[in-house]
Amino acid sequence: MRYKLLRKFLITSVIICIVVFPSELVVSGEKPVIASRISEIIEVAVITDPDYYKPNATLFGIETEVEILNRDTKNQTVVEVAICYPKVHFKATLVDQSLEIERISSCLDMSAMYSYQPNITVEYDFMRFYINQTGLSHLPDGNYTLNRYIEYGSSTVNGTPGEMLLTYISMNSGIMNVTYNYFDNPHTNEVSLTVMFPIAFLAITSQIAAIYKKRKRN
Amino acid sequence: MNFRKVHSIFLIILTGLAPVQSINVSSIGVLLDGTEFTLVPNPSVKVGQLQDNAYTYTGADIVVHDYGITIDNYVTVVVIDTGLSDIQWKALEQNPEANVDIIGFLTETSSGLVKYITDPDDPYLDDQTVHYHGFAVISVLATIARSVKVIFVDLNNFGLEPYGFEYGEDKIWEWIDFHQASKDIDIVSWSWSIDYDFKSSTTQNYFDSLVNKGVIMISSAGNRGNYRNTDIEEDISYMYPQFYTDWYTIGSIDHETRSDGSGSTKGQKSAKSSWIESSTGGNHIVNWLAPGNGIPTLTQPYFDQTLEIYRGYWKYFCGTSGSAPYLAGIIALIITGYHNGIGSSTDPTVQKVVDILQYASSRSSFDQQMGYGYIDVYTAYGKAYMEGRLA
Repeated sequence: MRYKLLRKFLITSVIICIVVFPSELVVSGEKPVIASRISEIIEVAVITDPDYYKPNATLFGIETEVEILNRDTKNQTVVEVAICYPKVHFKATLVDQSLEIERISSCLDMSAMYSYQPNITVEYDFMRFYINQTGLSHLPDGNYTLNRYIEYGSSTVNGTPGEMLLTYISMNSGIMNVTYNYFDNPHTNEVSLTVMFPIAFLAITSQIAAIYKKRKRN
Repeated sequence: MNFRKVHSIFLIILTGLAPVQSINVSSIGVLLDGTEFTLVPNPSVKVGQLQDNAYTYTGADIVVHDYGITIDNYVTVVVIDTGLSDIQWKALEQNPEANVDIIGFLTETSSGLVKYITDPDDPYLDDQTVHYHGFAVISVLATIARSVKVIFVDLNNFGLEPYGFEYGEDKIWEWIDFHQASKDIDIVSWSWSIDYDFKSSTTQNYFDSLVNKGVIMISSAGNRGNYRNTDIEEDISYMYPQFYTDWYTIGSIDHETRSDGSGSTKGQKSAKSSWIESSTGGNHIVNWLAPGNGIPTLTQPYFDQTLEIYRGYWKYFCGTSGSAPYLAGIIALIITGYHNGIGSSTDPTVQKVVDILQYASSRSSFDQQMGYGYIDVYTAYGKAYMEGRLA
């Protein structure tokens, strides 16, 4: 009777383990500590700044809000081999394949180190790029995939790539649809708990209890 | 089974359920000279007397500290970079280990007007938001070219500010070209890599004009450590203005071997130093190298209550951004040496300076990634002085 109770208790424990620690089971120490996503497309605009005039081209600007997630409880160091802007980049597949995109970006040739506090830090970014056609009033039809690459670690030599969630812009007849991706576990620390460890522990304990009970009967 | 036994088993089970936090044991190493992002120990000696390996490697310590050569009044370096704050300006002029004389700050207002500021207390500087790279770059120049006159050209910070010049604007080059003689501008130093191509014929004409007026324009090679300084992830090549023959491209050389995992091997091109174009392409390549992997730069400007001066903390930073002003400092020493030799403010031609640099180069043969190597400052200064004497 008591043994049956014990077994019930152990099974309940396993269920509790799975229910209470689901996020740890998901993380399992494999998710990068740092992650990034473009959380909002603030504005997409045609820029008419004469300083950037280029014949036979339209200059576009995309302003974005970016979230950097630090899953750890401690500040995380992010290093960059060069300080480049914009930090958000995109790749595009345009319906009109004669169109070409020419981005404007630059790098300060000095390494930089930033510190990100736990949870989410919000940053803003501004991309500018030409498309080789004059008089465009909106982004050409096609699919645009945006990302914000980030590495973390204490040195520029051995940085660890962070998780990079993609944001998608779909243009169809001038109508823009944006699809965002979201962090799945923004408040979870990186832990190495796996379901195998408590289950194995329970199995061994259960076996010991069974042997103990058998010996007592004998 | 009594309650006590059940309770014990329960506690054991709970222990087994406890999450196991991963512990990252970072390797504990000895901090070596030049380790990135660390403070420079004893800066009055390491920087003030140039005893850091970043200087002794090229012999800059002999010329600048032992011989006490400071830059004369007839050499001006234009540094084009992101903004400077008033405190940074003052720290660069007052810092006791090494300093410069910032004679002007050139920017463009939000209404498009060119503004030349000569007073660090000008309220216009209060609006500067991003201003650490230019500060660091000028501090590297200060270590080699003591007291050199500097004109700072304020680039718009990646389009994020309402003021400062945009990359594509010819107003920068127009201003420098117009004031070259009156401001005695000899060197333009640029520590950026851009994918904006400067293709406009107007811009190219200004580049040519400046070279014809004797201005030496140098630029950092970039930190991607590859051909054309390409960001592999994004497939973007940051290679302008280095690409053009009017510009001399400066990569980084490792001035010491470190066992801190940074991959620094004395005498080698720094792993992160790029090269721009093949010599057979007829365009520019890396011309020379200068220390850039772990060189002292000034950070965190503050007011020293005791000395009643503005100054900063010296830290080791990495990048070809440091190599370009380092070489700009060497060129300033060469021009000063020539002035000292000839006994007047007559400048050497660009070709004469290039010949002197070549003479003092560590390599006799050209290498695509290393150019002609680094410059021996002692040899370069001596040669410049003699060239002046013989002129």
